[in-house]
Amino acid sequence: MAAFEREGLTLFIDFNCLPTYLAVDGVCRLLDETGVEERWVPLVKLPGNTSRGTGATDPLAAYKNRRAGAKRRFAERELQRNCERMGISREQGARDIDSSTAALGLLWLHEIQAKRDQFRAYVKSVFLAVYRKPESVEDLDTVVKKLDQCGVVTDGFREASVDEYLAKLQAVQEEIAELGIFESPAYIYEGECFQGRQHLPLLGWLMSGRNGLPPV
Amino acid sequence: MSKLEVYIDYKSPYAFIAKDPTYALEEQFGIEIDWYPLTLNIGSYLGTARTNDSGKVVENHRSPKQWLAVKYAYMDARRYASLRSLTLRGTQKIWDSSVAAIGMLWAKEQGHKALKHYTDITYERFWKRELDIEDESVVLNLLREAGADIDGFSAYLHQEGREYHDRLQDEILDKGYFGVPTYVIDGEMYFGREHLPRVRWHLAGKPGLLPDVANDSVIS
Repeated sequence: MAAFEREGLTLFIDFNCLPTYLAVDGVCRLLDETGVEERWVPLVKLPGNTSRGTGATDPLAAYKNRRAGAKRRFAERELQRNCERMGISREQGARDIDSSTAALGLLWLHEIQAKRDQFRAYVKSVFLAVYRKPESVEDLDTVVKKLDQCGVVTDGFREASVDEYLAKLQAVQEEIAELGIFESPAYIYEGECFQGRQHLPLLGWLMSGRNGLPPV
Repeated sequence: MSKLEVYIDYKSPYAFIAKDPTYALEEQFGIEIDWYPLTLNIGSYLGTARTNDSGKVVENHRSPKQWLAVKYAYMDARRYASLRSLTLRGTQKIWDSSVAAIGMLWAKEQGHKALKHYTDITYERFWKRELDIEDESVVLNLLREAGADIDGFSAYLHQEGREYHDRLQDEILDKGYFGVPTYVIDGEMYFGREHLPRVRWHLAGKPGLLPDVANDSVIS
């Protein structure tokens, strides 16, 4: 999984992230329009990545708590808006899963050098299972079923040691952390890192040859 | 037409690069934006640090995670700024932008033209590291250059203006606005310039589906 910064567009995705799901169709369209090569990399929330609460002796504790409350309210409103866009319920959009097992499926696709369409089919079917037609993608059997449905050889996947694959996933996460990536979706194009789906217009401009004025 | 409130801070690189795409809304929709200062307490959520002229960190109260966020934010803002030939040099410390914010409130009282001019020169020079926005005399000169009447500003800065600014910050946080730029229309809040497609959609009367977030403004 090394050399994320090779040619084409590298996409870092967490299956437990609604904004990432929102970006998938748009980025696939861009890739189709520009013919740029793609590379999907799993991103999972690592333990210890959450921020700590403020201590009682912190003089800014009251301000921090009020600001954190405001951020939470905005996040809730944003969730509602995104669900409205997707035509799903708030409960569906707020679903919180451990995306590690689904991430292992993505690693397997790299292992067997799956085709572009198989990567995309897998990515879309996992997101569908997380946010639209709930299935437990935390379960290895479901992930195997998803891989099967994408026409992928799964012989060896189930037999492989989960520990071995989790270690591989951890190594990938460490490489991602080295790149300074902390948000999904994230992209690397021509060595430049973009975090968040709001960058798709600029990515489109870059990928299609920088014609006209850039979207900013 | 709905009224649009916009909340900014001169020390925010993201608010700086959002300025011109936000101005464009006035022309597109024939509105006059109601501007407010939202003075960020950056140190409370991103820690504090100080660098010297060669960029070396000489004081550090930031976690690695906070450094990551700060470095990415500057890189991100700078790439968009450079596409528009704007100069955006990283700050060497966390500035207290409240004096410049009170200057903004004063300029606002003087009319839209003075406020726009004040905002333009403050942003441009601050991000070229040409401005000490904590210095009262510097802010006074900016106001004068922007065409504002500066008679009484000094007293305003230390009394009425300061009280209004501080009360405003309290009210802003109560309303749930926590960052810049923030856009508010009909009580609906949109945070970040990536929400401009939604702001335009809202101002246009919400035709069709809510658009997605995107940095999609084209500035000639």
